Amino acid sequence: MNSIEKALIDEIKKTLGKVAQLAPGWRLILGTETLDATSVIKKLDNDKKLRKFVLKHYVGIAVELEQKAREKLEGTSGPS
Amino acid sequence: MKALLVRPRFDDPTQYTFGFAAEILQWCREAGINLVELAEDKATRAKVEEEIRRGIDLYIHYNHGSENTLYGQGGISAVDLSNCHLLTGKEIYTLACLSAKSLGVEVWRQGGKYWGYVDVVSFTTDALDRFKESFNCGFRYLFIEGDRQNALSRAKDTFNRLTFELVGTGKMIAAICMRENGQNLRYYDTNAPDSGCQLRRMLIKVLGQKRGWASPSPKALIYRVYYWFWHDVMKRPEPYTDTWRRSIKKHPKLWLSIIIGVPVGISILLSVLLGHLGGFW
Repeated sequence: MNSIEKALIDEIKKTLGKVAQLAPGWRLILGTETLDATSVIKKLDNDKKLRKFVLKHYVGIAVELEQKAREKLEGTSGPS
Repeated sequence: MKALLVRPRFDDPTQYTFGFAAEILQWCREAGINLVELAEDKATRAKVEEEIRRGIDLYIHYNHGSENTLYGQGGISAVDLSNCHLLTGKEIYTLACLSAKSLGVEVWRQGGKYWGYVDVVSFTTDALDRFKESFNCGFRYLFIEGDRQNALSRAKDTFNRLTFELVGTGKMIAAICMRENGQNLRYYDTNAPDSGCQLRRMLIKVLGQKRGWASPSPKALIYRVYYWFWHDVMKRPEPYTDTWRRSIKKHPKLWLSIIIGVPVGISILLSVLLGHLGGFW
């Protein structure tokens, strides 16, 4: 895990820590597993597959947001 | 149209999927679809097979799944590679992990149309309405609106829209799950699925699509023989394939020590015994 990925995972863990405090009933259903926020934090430390899954989609969503922003820009910048 | 809805409920995830399927039930009633429901304890393999044999056009399954199996009540196989021939020529709509990977392909190969997921399905409890919308939207496009041509692309658009709605509300874990589910969604209708099997890919290359897909997968054949042996010969209620697979996954160290330990133990015992009898010790 490089420094950017580590920073991202740390931020996600902080958010999940807040979720654990504010919404104790929150659950992640992952196939047959049911995890509360604290368990997800622990799993992010130990489970490489889950970390990869989260990072893959975090980056994917960021890329798509950038694409959307560019499309918006192209849509508004017509000939003057 | 006659439909069969199977929705077991026996653990945390199925509490939610049971609820998601209630909307399907309501839509079918409103659309005049003749629906038979097998819920909770009625969602057994025997009852599922019985209802399919009575004649249905559409099979709907909301519960756990694996590559080869759709599970019934208590996690016991309801439909798998050994009885999926019953679904020949039928429409299948599922919310279940992984089932489009092998089972869906085999059903499609036998003339069925299959809606499902090729990987683990995930969701969070802070956005249940949005997840329900995503899981059920395909059913609306396919069977209520009748838009078979564009159902998959429309469903993928719905997953994308919901992903960004979740990002907008700060529910990132939910957004991640939504994006993953959308990427894993498949609909096998007239288009051939991608085969993960090297042999199948080679057959398709050499013989063409139609002939290449004509033979059943070795996995399906093994499954049928295995099921026949355990269920019909040994009179066991469930083929033990999944029980063992689940157990190996759950306790890998225990199984590894059994696999290594038992032959090593027997070898030591035999060498001591034979060595003693032969007068070497």
